[in-house]
Amino acid sequence: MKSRAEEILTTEQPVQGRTSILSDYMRALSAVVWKDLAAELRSRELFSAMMVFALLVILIFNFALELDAATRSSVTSGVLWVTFAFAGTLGLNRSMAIEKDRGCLDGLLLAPVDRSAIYFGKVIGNLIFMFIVEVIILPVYSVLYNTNLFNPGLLLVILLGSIGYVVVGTLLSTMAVQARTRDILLPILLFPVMIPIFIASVKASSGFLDGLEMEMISPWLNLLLVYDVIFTAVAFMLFDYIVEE
Amino acid sequence: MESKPRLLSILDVVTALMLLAATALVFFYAPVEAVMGQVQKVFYFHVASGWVGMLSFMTAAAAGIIYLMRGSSNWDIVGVAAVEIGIAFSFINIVTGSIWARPIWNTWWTWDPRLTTATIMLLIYLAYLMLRSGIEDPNRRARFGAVYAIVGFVSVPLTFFSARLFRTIHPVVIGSNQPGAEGSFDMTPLMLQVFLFSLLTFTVVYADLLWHRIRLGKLAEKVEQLKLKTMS
Amino acid sequence: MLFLLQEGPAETLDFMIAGYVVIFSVMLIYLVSLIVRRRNLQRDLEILKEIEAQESADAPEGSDRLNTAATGLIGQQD
Repeated sequence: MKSRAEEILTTEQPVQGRTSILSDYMRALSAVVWKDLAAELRSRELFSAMMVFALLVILIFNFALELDAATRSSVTSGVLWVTFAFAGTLGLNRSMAIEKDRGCLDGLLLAPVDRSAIYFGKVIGNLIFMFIVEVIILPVYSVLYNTNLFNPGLLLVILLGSIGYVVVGTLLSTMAVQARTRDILLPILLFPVMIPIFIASVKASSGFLDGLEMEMISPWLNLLLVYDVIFTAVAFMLFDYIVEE
Repeated sequence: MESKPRLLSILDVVTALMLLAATALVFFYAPVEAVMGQVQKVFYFHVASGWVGMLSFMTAAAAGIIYLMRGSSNWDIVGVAAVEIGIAFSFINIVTGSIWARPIWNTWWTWDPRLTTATIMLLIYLAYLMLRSGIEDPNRRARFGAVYAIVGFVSVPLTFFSARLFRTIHPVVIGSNQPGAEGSFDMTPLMLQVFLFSLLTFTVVYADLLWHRIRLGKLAEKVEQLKLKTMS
Repeated sequence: MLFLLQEGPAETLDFMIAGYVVIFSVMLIYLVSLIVRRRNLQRDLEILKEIEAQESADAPEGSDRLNTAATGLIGQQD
């Protein structure tokens, strides 16, 4: 029983010209994204796990650190990003595990389309999940700790940081899920290599929250951009090699 | 892989001699640093080990790229060999960095960008080994190892920049007023000679160990293949 | 730095010794691990070659000796 997405991907389309190849690619990509969103809408498995976990982490920080008004501003961005990093790991792990366990991965690979469409499809799907969680956590944190987190600069950092995190995370989770030690392996693989993103996101976030001048924040934003671009390219080139059969 | 190549035996001897010579230079030729005293002499092999750590890292990434392009298991063996040696020497680098820091800055750890990056590099190495140990199929193991070696290698310069940027914005009160300096001292010409010779020596040590480890890897591969043949 | 107030360089000999102990012992440990692993693998190779020779000479049943040697090898990796 094929899902609609799998149907789209595995039906042969006649080649009509160059634009047809591009539109096949985009169709495959959006099919992957759509499949994930649709499945998630039905089960809400990923979302609820990530959300509950993130809320618990935020809660635990209240007891772990002295989050009184004075210290809070200096640790807010740190707490936020640690939460995102750990919740993100959950999402990435589950997202790939679902693919593997249901055999979707193999089905997708049979599609007559460039493998990178699958990769970008997964990245966008994972990104959407991560954004949703982040967008909810921000007001929750604001309320719990009486801090105003509505800051367009902060949102920009969250955008750039999450992109970098998910780009590398999707690549690595594809590998991790094929190993015996799958659950524990992803954070071990991911955290050392996403340190630049982490540092830059935390510093840029706190820069915006503290209202620092742009020239103090821009080096961090540049770092985020560079990381995102470099690793999107690297992951794009390497993805093929980890889904060969 | 039965007999040891003659060149390797020669390399063994050369390595041993150079290591001996370098040690002698450090203890008897290099002057004692005016301020820090004897512990500064750790610096020569400390930096040389760090250099080998980076060299291994580059080797592993390059071997990974070539493996992905060619598919020959030899390059996978080179990759694992480089990572193992890299772990040993990065460990030396970090621990000696800590030992050097202790009497100078009165702390075991300084979060200096170079040391921090070296530690992260070590963690990437270890993650590499953990990734490999979780995969049964040798072909997949090699491919994944190659991919992770490349990803890790690309991330390290970025990690270094971010650690250094972090430090310049947050200069550490302990230590010298140059943020990011591990412990600065002026190198006299004699010191420079010993320093350069140490770098050269450790590079030779690296080449020697790498060759031996690659041979070991090939032997292991042979045993594996024979095992599969006779047991099935 | 307090050292500047003293005469001559600081007394940091102990740390230097500790440093060099670390450097040489780690290198030595790694070298020894290479040697030990090499020896184990060569022993395995001998056993496997024996088995291979026996298998091509023997009937399909194989002997007890082969089985015990074989089980000793199972589970070993590089």
